[in-house]
Amino acid sequence: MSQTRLRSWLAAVIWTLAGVGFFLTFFSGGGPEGLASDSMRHVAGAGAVAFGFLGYWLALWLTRQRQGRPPAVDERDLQVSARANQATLVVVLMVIFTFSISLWTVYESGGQVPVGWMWFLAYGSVILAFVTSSVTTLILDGRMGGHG
Amino acid sequence: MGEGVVRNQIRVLRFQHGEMTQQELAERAGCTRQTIGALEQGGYVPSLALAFRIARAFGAGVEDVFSFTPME
Repeated sequence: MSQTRLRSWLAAVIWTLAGVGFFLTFFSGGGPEGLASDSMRHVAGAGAVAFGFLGYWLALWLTRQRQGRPPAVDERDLQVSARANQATLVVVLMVIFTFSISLWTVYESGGQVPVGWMWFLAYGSVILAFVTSSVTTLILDGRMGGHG
Repeated sequence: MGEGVVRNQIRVLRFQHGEMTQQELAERAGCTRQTIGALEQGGYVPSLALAFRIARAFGAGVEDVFSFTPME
């Protein structure tokens, strides 16, 4: 398995776990309502994201290029990454737009949005970006014959 | 852009060169084994630089390894 593919699998698993933890933290405690005054949920949610970053950093370190080994990444990997990043940008922008406009639609008449949704959007967009990037990398790598 | 199809003879040439493995060719050409596999499957079209490196790994010219068929 290539470095690109291995890293993408690891990233997909790590960030999916982080995402599940984040969602459970956010929604099990009542969603956006009361989040601002619930420091335990803040810490737990941020902890899920920290788990994602630490796990991802560890995965990058474990799969690093070793001295004396053939190149772990080449032009095809860079092309796959570039296309995956383009796709990720579009997906994240679309989700953020849809989510934001949905908040507007739901809370327009009241004139106030629970601030917890902003927290959810901030952390959630980070997790979404990593999950989308790793999954699209796996899909594109497979389409470009990289699963062999 | 889709102006044509690039094909290659990498698999044939590997076997003509003492059944060279994909890994051996990848190391000689400075790419990954997965890219050699992708090239053989027709899933990837290499850069000109990589095409030259692969051809040189076989001691051949680029047009002995790669061919281009324009779309009609």
